Amino acid sequence: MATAELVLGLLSSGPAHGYDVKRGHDAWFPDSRPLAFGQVYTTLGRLERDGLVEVVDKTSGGGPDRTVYALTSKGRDHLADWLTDPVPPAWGSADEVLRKLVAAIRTGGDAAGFLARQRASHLRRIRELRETPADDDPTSPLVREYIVAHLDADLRWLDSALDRISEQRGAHQ
Amino acid sequence: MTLETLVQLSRSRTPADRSRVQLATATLALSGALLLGALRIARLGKGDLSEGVYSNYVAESGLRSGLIAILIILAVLTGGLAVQALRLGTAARERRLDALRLAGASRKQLRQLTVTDAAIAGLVGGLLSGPAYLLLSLLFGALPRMARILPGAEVLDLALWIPVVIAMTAAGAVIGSLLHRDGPLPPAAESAAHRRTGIIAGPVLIVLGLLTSRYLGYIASTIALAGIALLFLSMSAVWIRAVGRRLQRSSDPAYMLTGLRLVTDSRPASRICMLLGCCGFLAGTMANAIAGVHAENDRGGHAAFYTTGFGLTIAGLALVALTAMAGLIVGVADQLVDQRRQFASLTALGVDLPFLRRVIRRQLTAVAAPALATGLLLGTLIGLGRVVGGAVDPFEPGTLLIAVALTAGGWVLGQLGGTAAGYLLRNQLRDALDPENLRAA
Amino acid sequence: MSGQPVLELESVEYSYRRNTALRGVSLELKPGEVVAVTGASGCGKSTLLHCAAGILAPDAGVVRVDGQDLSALPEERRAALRRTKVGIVLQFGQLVPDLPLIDNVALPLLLDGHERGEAHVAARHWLEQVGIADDADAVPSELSGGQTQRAALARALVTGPSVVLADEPTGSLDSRAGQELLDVLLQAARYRGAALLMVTHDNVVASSADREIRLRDGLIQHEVSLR
Ligand SMILES: Nc1ncnc2c1ncn2[C@@H]1O[C@H](COP(=O)(O)OP(=O)(O)OP(=O)(O)O)[C@@H](O)[C@H]1O
Ligand SMILES: [Mg+2]
Repeated sequence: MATAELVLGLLSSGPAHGYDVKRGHDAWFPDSRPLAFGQVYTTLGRLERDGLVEVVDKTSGGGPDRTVYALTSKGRDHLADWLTDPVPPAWGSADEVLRKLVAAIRTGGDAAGFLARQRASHLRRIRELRETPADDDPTSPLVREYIVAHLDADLRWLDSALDRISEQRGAHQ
Repeated sequence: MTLETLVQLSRSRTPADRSRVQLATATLALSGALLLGALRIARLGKGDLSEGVYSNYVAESGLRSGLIAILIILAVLTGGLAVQALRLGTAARERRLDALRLAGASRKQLRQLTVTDAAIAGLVGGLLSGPAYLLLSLLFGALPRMARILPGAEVLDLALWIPVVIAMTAAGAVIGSLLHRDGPLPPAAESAAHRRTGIIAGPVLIVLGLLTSRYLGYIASTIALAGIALLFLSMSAVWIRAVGRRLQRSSDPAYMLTGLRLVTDSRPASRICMLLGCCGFLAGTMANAIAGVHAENDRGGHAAFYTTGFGLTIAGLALVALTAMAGLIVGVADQLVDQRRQFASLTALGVDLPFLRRVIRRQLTAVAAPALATGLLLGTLIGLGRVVGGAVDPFEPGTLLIAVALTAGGWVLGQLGGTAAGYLLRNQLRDALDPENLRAA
Repeated sequence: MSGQPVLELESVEYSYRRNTALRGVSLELKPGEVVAVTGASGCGKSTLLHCAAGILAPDAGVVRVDGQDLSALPEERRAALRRTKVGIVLQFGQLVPDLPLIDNVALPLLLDGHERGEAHVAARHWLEQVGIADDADAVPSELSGGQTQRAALARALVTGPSVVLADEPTGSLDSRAGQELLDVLLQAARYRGAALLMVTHDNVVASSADREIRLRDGLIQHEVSLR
């Protein structure tokens, strides 16, 4: 799960309370399960420990909900790296692709570049699967075909996402 | 490319192409037979011959050269029909050439293929011209003496046949080479400017030809005829496009298709229109002349002589007109083959055979009837005298009557042609409507 | 994958009467390289392929096959080059309608001056490779779309070209038959060291390439390595 990187992405536009982070996440993914408060605070805590975020303001009340967090430069680098890397195509990796894409668009990253690399990564995986010599195992070709079909579906979606993004970019110019 | 490949690839085996080549071969055979006739008569020598055996046209040395000239002109006219025939099926043929080009054929090779195809048609036509002449001379031999203008064939005529075969092969090759275009033809080729030039230049040439015919003789007649041809070509283009536009606006898909076809490629139709118009014009002038001869009593004794001459000429022209119509029909037939996919999809929309036959008849009559009628009207009104620069009689009101009758006749003939075509094409139409065509490329 | 590129396009532009289809596309194919061209319908993929094949002459830019600028060659040489060095499989209607398959496949050899018998031997071999040897004597109208496509592929490969250009080579086939044909194509290309440029909407086909070039509105949107 890439909640940590998403939190970094949510903080990339400026310092925020944990509460704002949760609200931001739920706004980015209105159709997904809302992020639990507890998860926000444990994640922020871990990120602070790793030096990816820092506390910039703490109101007198002292409760966790009164603390303002900001990205460190290390955190910014980490976010950029994450956004650059395609997701290793694996079962159920689509969520992750979607997360990255939304984050890239929302943070003004190179979404089209990411999609291109993601396409390449998916295509490579299809070829690997196709080139693996078929053994006598009766189920592995079935499983392989299943995976190829799903990767193909992902690729179609990546395709239309690319077109949509280019159109939007064209419209903004 | 080896010779075998050249011959194999040049002969297209699609049904449309086969009928195109057959038509060209037939017309070239007729053309060759007429040429043989001219040579046969030329072989008779210079002196006058017995009028008891030969027709006056052959016996009198002065008329003989005229007859030879007429036969050669008719040979050229029928040769022109071969050009028309070879031009048919452009869309399908160009698709075939495109496919060959795609397989790596160079322009030169494509030209070689077209030329070989036409040359083979010429060769076969030339070979058939001998038997055709034999048949024609037997036919004319059975007519009254005055009409026996083709002397019977002799063994010595075999020697004349060889150059005719060579000439027809060469003619085929030349036609093929002239018709061949290197690329797909630019769609703007038949521009509005061209048509306008024709509409202006045509009448100018006609008037010029008629005014100078006294002094320039045959040169002036040729100018006048060229003007007529030009006028017909450009007017028919305008007319056909107008008809096409009107059909296109129709809410009926079949009419819309017909209209579209006429608008996007009006060239074959307007060329046939020109040919029919010219035939009509010449036939009209002949009719006018026949009327003139009958009106003059002092030539009474020779009426048979003149009438035979004019009659034979009209028969020749009718032959050319009929072949032109046949060309038009074959053209429509291969458009049908070409567009069988669209027609088949019309079946799915509920279009049936009688309806499609009406559409085709309409397309044909829209071209043929006005062309023949206008040609006949103009020809009769202007008259032979004005065209060849002979004595011009004052305009007779009687001529007007003949002109009207002939115009109506031409119109009816055009309509009949369209109806006949609808009948002749019924099988092609049925095939075209066959839903199986939806599979064809 | 080294050596001189067998196919080079340099800022190629092409416009149809009303539409601009290519706005400056450059690409290079090394011997043995397989490149997939993808992109939305109407983005100029087929046009690109036609320019590369010398079927369309670009309005601007250069196309080189085996280092030879196509526009600089006389037509005769250009046709010969296309016949011997370039194999083309188009999206539609590439077979000569009245010729039996065997002759259709043998056509480039016949046009090149080979004897009929010799050309037929090669043609039959390729018809077998693509799995339609039984239909050798059928004419194109008697074939299914997929069979037509196989025949076109056989014809593209019969001269042993150094570049194969394929427009949707598996477009009319179901996925299994498509993959079979794709394997024939890839093997033929790899075995002979021929470069392969294929336009495709099919991700499985694209996945077998070394590189993906994606077009959008007549421009290269991106180019990624799949190796
Ligand atoms: N003969 C033509 N005349 C005019 N415009 C054309 C012609 N052929 C193609 N076009 C236009 O050029 C553009 C590119 O066409 P092209 O055939 O290269 O697209 P494509 O990427 O191959 O599409 P598809 O995936 O649907 O085959 C399109 O906008 C199309 O409308
Ligand atoms: Mg295309």
